[in-house]
Amino acid sequence: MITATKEDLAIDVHGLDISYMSGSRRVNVLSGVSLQLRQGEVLGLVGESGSGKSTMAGVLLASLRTSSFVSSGTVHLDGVDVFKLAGKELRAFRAGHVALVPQNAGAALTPTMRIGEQLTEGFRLDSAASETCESRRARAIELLKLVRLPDAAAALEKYPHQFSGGQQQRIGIAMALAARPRLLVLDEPTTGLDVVTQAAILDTLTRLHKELGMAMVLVSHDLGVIDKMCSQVAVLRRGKVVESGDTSTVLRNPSHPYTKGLLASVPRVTVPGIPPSLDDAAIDAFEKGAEMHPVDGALYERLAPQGTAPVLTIRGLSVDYNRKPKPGSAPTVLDVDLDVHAGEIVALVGESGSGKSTIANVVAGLQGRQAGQLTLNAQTELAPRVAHRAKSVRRAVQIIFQNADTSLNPRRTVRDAITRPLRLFNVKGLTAEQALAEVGLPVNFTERLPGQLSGGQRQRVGIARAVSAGPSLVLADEIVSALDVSVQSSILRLMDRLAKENNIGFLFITHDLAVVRSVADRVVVLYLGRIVEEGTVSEIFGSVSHPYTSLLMASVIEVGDDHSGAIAPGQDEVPAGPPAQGCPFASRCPLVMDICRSVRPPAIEVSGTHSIRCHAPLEKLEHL
Amino acid sequence: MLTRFVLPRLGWAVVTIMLATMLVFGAMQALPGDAATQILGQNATPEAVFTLRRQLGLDQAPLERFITWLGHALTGNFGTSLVSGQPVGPEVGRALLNTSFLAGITIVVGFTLALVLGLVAGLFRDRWPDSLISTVALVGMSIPEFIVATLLVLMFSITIPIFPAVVVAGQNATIAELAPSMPLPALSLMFVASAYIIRMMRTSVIDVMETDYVHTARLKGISMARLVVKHVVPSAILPTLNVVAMNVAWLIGGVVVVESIFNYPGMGSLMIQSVQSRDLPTILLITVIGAMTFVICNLLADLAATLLNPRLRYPRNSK
Ligand SMILES: Nc1ncnc2c1ncn2[C@@H]1O[C@H](COP(=O)(O)OP(=O)(O)OP(=O)(O)O)[C@@H](O)[C@H]1O
Ligand code: SF4
Ligand SMILES: [Mg+2]
Repeated sequence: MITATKEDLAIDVHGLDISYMSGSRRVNVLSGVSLQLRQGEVLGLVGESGSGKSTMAGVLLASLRTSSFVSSGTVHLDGVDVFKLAGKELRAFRAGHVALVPQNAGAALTPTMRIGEQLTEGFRLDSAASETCESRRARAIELLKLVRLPDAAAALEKYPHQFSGGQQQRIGIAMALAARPRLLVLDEPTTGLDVVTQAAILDTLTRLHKELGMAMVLVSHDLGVIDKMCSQVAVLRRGKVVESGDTSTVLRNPSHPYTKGLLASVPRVTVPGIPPSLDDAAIDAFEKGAEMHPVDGALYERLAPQGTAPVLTIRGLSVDYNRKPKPGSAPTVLDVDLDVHAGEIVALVGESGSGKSTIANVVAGLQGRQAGQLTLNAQTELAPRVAHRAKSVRRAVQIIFQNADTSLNPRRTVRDAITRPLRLFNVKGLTAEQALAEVGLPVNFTERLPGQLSGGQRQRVGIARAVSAGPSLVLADEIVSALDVSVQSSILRLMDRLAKENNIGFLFITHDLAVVRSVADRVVVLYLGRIVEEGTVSEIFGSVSHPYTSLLMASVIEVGDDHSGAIAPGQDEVPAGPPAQGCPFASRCPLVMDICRSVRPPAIEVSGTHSIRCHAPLEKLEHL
Repeated sequence: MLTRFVLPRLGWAVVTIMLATMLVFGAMQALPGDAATQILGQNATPEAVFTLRRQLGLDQAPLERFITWLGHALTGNFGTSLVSGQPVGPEVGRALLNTSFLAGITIVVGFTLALVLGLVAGLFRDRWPDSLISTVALVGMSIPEFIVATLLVLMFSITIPIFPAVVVAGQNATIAELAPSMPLPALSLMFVASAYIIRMMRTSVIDVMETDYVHTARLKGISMARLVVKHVVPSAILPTLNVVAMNVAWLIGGVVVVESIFNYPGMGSLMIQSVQSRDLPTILLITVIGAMTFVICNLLADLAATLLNPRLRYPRNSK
């Protein structure tokens, strides 16, 4: 009888401990995990980084990192004990029963093999091994059509690098479906993708689940994604399941304080202000019984900036990466006007490749420009190259890079990292200790190496380095994108405090609209290197928007939405480059008219601070 | 393709060859004595040396001689040997053929074997096949070729006499006559040159085995053989190619030592003889050939890397 019920379950994990040895000590990556999932259902695994989500995903394919092992417990899929399988049996099980779509599909496709071959090798151990070449090809095309890859037949002959990130993700899903698995495991399938691409991929997954009916496990740190996709959810923290059950119950009526905290710390497009942070102190507090603030309760209020003096003025900026412009191509960044005032946080929003980092690099003097004037503090012209700028100017403009991990030298101490740039420019600034105090890190961190810091702490060191020069302008490129929500809001708070107290102007680059809503004063929306809309944060999130901004908003997925909207096919296809004339958004715009393809839309003033570049009348730009 | 890929490399090739000949020419000037003193020997009278010098054209200023040589060389005329009085071409050509044969065997057999051994070591990382291969490679890297050669002679022609210790066929021997004495020189070269390739291939295989795509392919449940051949080798071999090219160039140096130990009538032996007799035209032609080999090897490695790497073959936005 017991076996019969077991076989009814797609997943039955019982009392699982996964450990590795650190010296003679046994460290648990997962401890006492028990999970069940019925056939055809979708399970979400949530938790912060390091909580064991990816380990759990690997376990379902009987795959562990080298040196870790199962110290107790069992994993049954459809009644089969997966850790009892070995050699040929294990290969056959992986080939026919369970498939994984790994985190970052781009890196998971073999760069030297054509897509077609990578897809069809998944058929190899399948029952129909005697298939002809043509029928395999036909099946591969069918798979690519299933995940809505444009021009499937041609795609078979291409190599992975010839596709965009979103397309690679689709190919990854198609590859996992090749073996017709009964269980599909997806590890962060949309993390790092733009909202629009994310929405389109999730729609594809929902449809595939309906059509094929397999069980799915979806690993994500994004509660909105889990809410949209999953019928069951398990919340992991430090290798333990702290809460599990129906998604609607867990996410709408959480009972464990950690789940409550997690939900409260997520920034939302619908709620202005920075949410409370979920640091260890907060969790300890409510583990002792304190209540977390409800989501829409006493959020951190933000004040409008006091200063009005512009620290940065950009006029008519154009950047072209093609040294010899070809006919039909257009500059990467065209005609950008932008102001940042003292104490103000200006968000530069756009999808990947829209030229956000390019603009930051031009301001920092790391990237040349074809046209345009940059002015600092309304008086100093910024030379194109940082080498030609005066010391005081270099000190006034600081940049914090997209990736804190790679921008810190692993062999230099925190003190060195903070003080080195200043010594190179031979200018006096804050001492390392003062700078650390500014960003809320303990003073004794000065002698640590980057490897001894967490992701959030490393990002703070990056900020400390920028602040130590006493800048008036800080360029912050995606500084919270790689961080867990729990750490995210504390970094956002830090940035807000520095803007207000030190009167620093921030150009804050991000693709995350919820983060924009929580921290920005003004927003500039960029599409293919052209500004399409600009306004205060409430105007941008208000009722009149550029069609591209509307698309971005419609693609955001949050807990508690009805998740009914779907992205129209083709809406997620970003052209390779901007068109030589007309509106850059014309190829995707639902309101497109003839004029849009030939004439660049002028900026229409909606209010003194809000402007939209679109040919369509304002009434049409109003959304619900 | 032509302007971006071939032209700059061709430019560098010319510069490399020029520099090499200039260096060798200069070095020969710095050596005591010249062809005249070497031909006439210790006891020659200064008058005799003086007359021979004038006959050989050695009385002109070095720079002038170099420019004259260069002018002729550019038209394909590399001059006559100062010792034999014959054009240098045919003699160097014969030596080149013999050396190419020796190097060819080393490259085809030795390097292929090295790539395979590196692959095996990488796949069996930290287990006994790896320890064995890595140790042997480390030994190969740390001991010089003349010791390897001597040890091989000791083992295979003295202790177990299966191969001749030195080549007895003379300068004009045909390849067929040389063939029986080929194994030991070839083995010495292979042993030393392969060591770097083995290490590089091993590291590269280990790196590729850790990538997400190999992990993913493994989880697809494909066979180990397919995994290695299709997913691992093409990516692992790319970074190794440059080391292979460098080793081919290195072989040119190793050849000199090994050939002279085994008395093998190739470019290496010829070069040593020519240096001893200060036979400048022969030395310069050997230098030109050596430098060209170096340049061509690097060019081929670059080309192979381009052909094997789909990112370079199919740039992102081409349809
Ligand atoms: N050095 C370069 N040479 C040629 N093209 C470049 C170069 N750097 C960036 N680009 C191109 O310019 C465009 C803008 O790139 P940029 O890095 O500024 O985008 P981004 O908005 O910061 O994107 P992301 O969100 O992915 O960081 C992209 O199409 C990119 O491919
Ligand atoms: S200008 Fe035309 S194409 Fe561009 S956003 Fe407006 S309506 Fe759409
Ligand atoms: Mg960027």
